[in-house]
Formats: sequence, C-alpha cells, structure tokens
Amino acid sequence: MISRRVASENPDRLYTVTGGRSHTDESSMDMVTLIVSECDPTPGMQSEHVKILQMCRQPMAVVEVSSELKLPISVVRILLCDLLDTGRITARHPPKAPAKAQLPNPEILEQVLVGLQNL
Amino acid sequence: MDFRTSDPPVRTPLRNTMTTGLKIVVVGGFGVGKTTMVRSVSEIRPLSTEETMTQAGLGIDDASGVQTKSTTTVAFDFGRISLNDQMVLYLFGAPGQERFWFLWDRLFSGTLGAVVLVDVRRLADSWYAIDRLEHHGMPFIVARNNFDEPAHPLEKIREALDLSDDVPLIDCDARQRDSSKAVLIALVNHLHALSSARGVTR
Amino acid sequence: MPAHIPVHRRALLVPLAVAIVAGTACVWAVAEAPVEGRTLMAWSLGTAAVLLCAAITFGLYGRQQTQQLRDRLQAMDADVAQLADQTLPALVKRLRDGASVDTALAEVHRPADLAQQRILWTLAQEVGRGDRMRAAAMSACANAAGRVQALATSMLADLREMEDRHDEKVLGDLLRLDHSTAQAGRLADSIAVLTGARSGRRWTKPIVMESIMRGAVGRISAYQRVRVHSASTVAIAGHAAEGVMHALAELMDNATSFSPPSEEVHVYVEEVSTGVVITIEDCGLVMSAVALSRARQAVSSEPLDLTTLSGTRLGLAVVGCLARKHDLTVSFRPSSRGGTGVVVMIPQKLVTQPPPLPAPDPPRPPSVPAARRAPSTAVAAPAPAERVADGDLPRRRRGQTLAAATSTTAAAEPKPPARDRPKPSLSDAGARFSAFRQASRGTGGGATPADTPDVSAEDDTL
Repeated sequence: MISRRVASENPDRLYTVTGGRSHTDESSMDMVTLIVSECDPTPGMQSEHVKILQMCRQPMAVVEVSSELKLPISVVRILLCDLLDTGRITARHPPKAPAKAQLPNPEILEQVLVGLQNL
Repeated sequence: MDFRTSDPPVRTPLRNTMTTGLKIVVVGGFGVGKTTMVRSVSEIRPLSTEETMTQAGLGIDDASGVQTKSTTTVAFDFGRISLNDQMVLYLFGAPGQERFWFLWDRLFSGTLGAVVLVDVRRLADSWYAIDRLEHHGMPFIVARNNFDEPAHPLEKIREALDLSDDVPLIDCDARQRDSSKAVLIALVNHLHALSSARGVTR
Repeated sequence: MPAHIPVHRRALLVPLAVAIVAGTACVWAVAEAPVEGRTLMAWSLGTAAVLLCAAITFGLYGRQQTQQLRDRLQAMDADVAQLADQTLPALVKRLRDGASVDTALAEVHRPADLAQQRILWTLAQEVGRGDRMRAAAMSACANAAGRVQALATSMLADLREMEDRHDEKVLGDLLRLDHSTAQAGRLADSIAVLTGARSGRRWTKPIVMESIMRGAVGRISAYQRVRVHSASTVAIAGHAAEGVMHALAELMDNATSFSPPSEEVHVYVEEVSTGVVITIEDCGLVMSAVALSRARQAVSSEPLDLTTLSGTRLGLAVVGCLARKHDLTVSFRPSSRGGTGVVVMIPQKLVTQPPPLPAPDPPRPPSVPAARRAPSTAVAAPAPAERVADGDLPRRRRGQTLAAATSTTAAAEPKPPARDRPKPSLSDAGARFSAFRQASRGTGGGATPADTPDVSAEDDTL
C-alpha cells in the first residue's frame, strides 16, 4: 500500500501546512460541524484555505473537508480555526448533547425519524 | 484573482439552510457490508477518510484473501443524508475490531447511536464492537445482514451474541435501500424510546 | 672519416695506418744509418713507433668513447623527457578516465629503457590503487547515502500515515519526528549529490510552486523563521522538482544559519518570461569579499573539485552540483534587508503548469426525491457461506473480548496515574449513561460498568 501512497504523495509535510502547529484550542469543532465560507479566497492565501473557501460556499461538514483535502481531521481543524479566527468562515455546530447523558433530545429524534421516513 | 485551479470538485453541495450535522455509526467486521449499507442510503458516493494500519493487521483482509501485505489501508467511510432543510445526517462505516480502537473516540463522541452489522458466518467479528458499545453505554441496535436466506432464527443470534432483551435485533439486506433505511429507522425509534424513558426516570 | 665505417673499425684503421707509416719510416731510417748503430737504432725506432701507434690508438679510442657516451646520454635525456612530458601524463589521464592499469600501460608509449619501464609500471600501480581507493570510498558513501535516503523516504511515508490516524495528542510528536526525518533525508541527499549518486526521489508529476516551497522549507531546521511570499501558480517538472527543492533548502538553511535567530528569512517567488526567480533574503551579516568569491566559485559552472570541500559546510557545493545539473543560475548580492540576497533563476524549460485536478464527480442535485433514485448497485455477494449447523454459532461472553484486547494494550503501554490524565468526556458521559440505562431498565441484566472489567485506558475515571 505504501507504494500507492508514495506515488500520490506531495512534498508538503504536514508541519509546513500548519506552520508547525499540531493542535488548536478550538475543541468544539466536531466531525459533523458544518462550515460555511463568508468570503472569497484572496491572492497569496495558502492553497488549503483557498480550497476550503471554495468548497464551503455551501455548507460542508468538517469530515467532508478533511476527506476532500486528504488531510487528517486534526490538521483540518487547525486550518479551519485560522479562517474562523479571521471571520472568513462560520461554523454551525451540532447540538450539544444534554449534560446528564449522551442521548439526544426527543424532538431532534422525531425530526430525524420523519426525515428518514421521507427518504 | 484567477485561481488557475478551478473550483475543486464539490460533491452534491448541501443546501445553504443546513444548520445541524448529526451522525450515526455503522460498525462491523470487514466485508460485513458497512460500506454497502452506507452507499445504499447515502446521497453522495461514500467518501473515505483514510486510516492506515501498519502491521498488526494479520488476517485483516480475510474477505479478499490478501494477507501478505504488512500495511493495509482502512477506509473509514461515510455517507450523507439530507433529512430536511436544516438537518443533515452523516453515516459512518467503521471497522469494528479491536485493532481500530483509535477510530473510536473520534467517531463516537456526539454520535446519536450505532448500528452493529453482523454476518452470521463471522459473528465473532462483532464481539469487540458490542462489548465496547455496552461498556461506553452507547445505545445501539444489531442488524443481521443477509445475502442469502438466513439459516438461523433471530433468537439464536440473540442468544449467541448474549444481547440483552432491550437491544433491538433485526434482519436486513444492506444492498437494499429500503432495508437499510428500515435499520436506521429502527435505531432512531430505539433512541427515541430511550430518550423518552429518560424523561420518565428523571 | 667516412661515415659508414663503424666506430670500432675506425679505431682500428687509424693505428694501422700509423703503424705502417711508422714502420716504413723506421725501415728507411735504419737502412740509411751506419751499419754499426743499426741494431740499436732499429730497436729504438721500433720501440718508439710501437709506442706512438699505441698512444694514437688509445687517444683515438678514448675520444670515440666520449662521443659515444655523449650520444647515449642525449638519447636518454630525450627518453626521460618523453616519459615525463608525454608518457606519464597520458598514463595518469587514462587511469583517471577509468582504464585499468594493464590497459593504460598497453596504450601508452613504452620506453626502451628497462628502468624507465619499471618507473612507469610502479607509478601506474600506485595511481591505479589511489583511484580505486577513491572510487571505493565514493561508492561506499554513495551507497550508504542511497540507503539512508530510502529509509528516510519510507519513514516519511509511515509517519504521514500515522499522522492520519492519530489525533492531537500524538500529532505534535509525530510532526517533530517527521521534521527530523526530513532533515536527515536532506543530509543523505547532499552526500548523494556530492558523491555523484542519483538524487533522492523522483516525482512522477509536476510539483506546484507552493509544494516546492514547502518541500524546501520543511527540510531545514529553522523552517518556522522562513516567510514565503508567493502567488505563483506554476509547477516545476517532476524530474527536476527534487533537485530544485534541495537546492533551495540548502540556500534557506544558509540564510537562517547566518542570520540572528530572532530574524525572519524572506523568500520571494516571481514568475518572469525566462522562468521563475526565487530570492532568498536574510538580514544577517553581509558576506566578506573572500566568502562571496568562494560562494560564487562553488555555484559556478566549474565542475566540483572535491578537494575544495570543507568538512563542515557542504551546502554551497551541493547547490553548485544541483545548479549545474538542472541549469539553475545562482547569484549573490547584498540584500536590501541588510544581509545577503541569493537569487535563484529556474529556467523556463523546467517550469510547467500544475497537473489537472481529478475530474469532479458529476454533481447530483441534493433535492432529488429519494424514492425515485435508482437502487444502488448491489455488491457482489461474498463467497458462499459455509453452512454453520444450527447449534454451532460461536457464543459471545460479555465484556471478554474488550477485556482481552485492552489487557494486551495496557500491558504494552504503561499508563500515567489516572489523576494526571485529562478526563475523557465520552466515557464519562457514557458511564453516566450506563448508569441511567441500568436505572431505566430497572434490572441489572445488561452490561454496566459494574460488571464490565475495569480495564480500558479510559476506565480509570469511572
């Protein structure tokens, strides 16, 4: 499998993509947080930021961004936080699970049920 | 500015009104039909976030009969269902065995619930997943994926898996969209029942 | 004296003539002399004539010997001069060009003199041996460098895979290892370049400028001090990309090493009609005239002279080799920022357009009514099931698989004390939920934290 990866690899090491950062304080960014661009890319921006801004003209989940960029979710979070901090994107977070237990509230589940039944 | 790379391929964009992403995880051993199930209900071709295992993967490719490689790429794939104008459901197909524990924390936080997909010929592949779900108290249902006429009554499976009575166990054919849909509905019904019960017990 | 008469014959002819003349004179003198003194006179004159003949003979012989020696000496002088001026240089050249000792000896003029032949032979042996030693040392270095390169490449691929599958907790450590490995790889690349081995990896596709810059920056220690200013969208041809990145990395490394650690190094990328110009500017010291001329010499079109290598600073020699290989032009000038500016010109023939992005999937409108969509293609059914007899289903024993799995994991990884570790919220919440479930069921029949072995890493918080 390595050979396939090597063939598709680029010379960009991840620490050069993040400028040496490996984590972000933004912990609320879930895999299914929806990202929406608030502006267009500008010249000189790093290519990942350009791609994110282009992809997220419609909402897109973090996990989809990660898959499209072929970058680990942790790295994508750092890139997204850069854009979030400068107001270039907004994030729509999934509902927080109620504090007491992990079960979602029944209203959400009812909507999910209707949605699934309408499929 | 002219970006010579035209817009990257955006697959089936979501509606702009979407505000809420939800997730459900489908776990099961290799070749049990996770990807098939995700594909049968997803509105996008399942995407994958590649997770690669080096060594420790002996026998990993049982299904394809390739066992000599020391490195195996595991696609933890996901599909998407737009439920309505605001809510989008992401379905994650995750390998259930112990050696993929590294996926779990990331996947399961904030997940509505899980579907354990089992293949009767490789029932043991699901044990770790069920143990782990029980251990974490993650609500789940079990679906038996049937490619052929099932050879065992469901009660035998429940017995063999030592499932408690309140865990729903159903039959499905992951290739069939309606069948996969029914599995998801069964899970959500189960969650709803638990969630309502919580209101009562509190 | 007729030239065709051999010397030794001449040496005989002259004394013979003298003997005849002297003899004749003696006979005549004796005949003229009074009878009573004839005997004495004959003896005296005879003796004198013999002595005269002998003296003349010896004189002549000596002169001829001298002449002979002088001639031989001249011939030898010419031979030695030929040996020194032509034969030996030719021999050394052939040996340096890689000919074997025997071949080289056979091809050069062989001196008649045996001693000279021995000199030639000895020299050929020694030069040949020296060259073999140099070649063996070079090839050992090249070979070792190649193996380190291969190791580094596969380590980098492995690290990238690990970076994919581990989250923030481990990612920082992995990135540090990744960075060290990239630097080790560059060192091996440098040795490979200097020993004339093939360069590191070959990229099978053009590499866009942003990646070229990252590839270069990522190989140096102080990469966080480098600021790249580029809006370039061109790419570098795959066959040259590695060399270009390596050369830029060496120059950036120089720039960061020779400027204060608090200062940034700025790199500007500019597309021009003749190619791409990359300027690396630091604000360290301005190079001295000597250093500047040495640097210019290193990156000039002159082939690398290994004897000019210093033990510690190989960078510019590497840049020189790479520049010659890929026709890069490297020049130095004082920087407007106060230090040195290095200008690298990448010729147009290496510049290309980036590879096209993979074709997008035909977009499918999200609003298509689900029911009308064709059922997805069925996957091939797996191999026929081995019929398991009714009672033969393997039985799960609750919690055992998890326990077995986590006990091996726990044994393999020593864990810090529980209170030092952050609380995993999932298991925490999960635990509470378990408790809830137990309560909601009203029976303890299900799996609960209480009857699940307390084994997994997260369980310490339960």
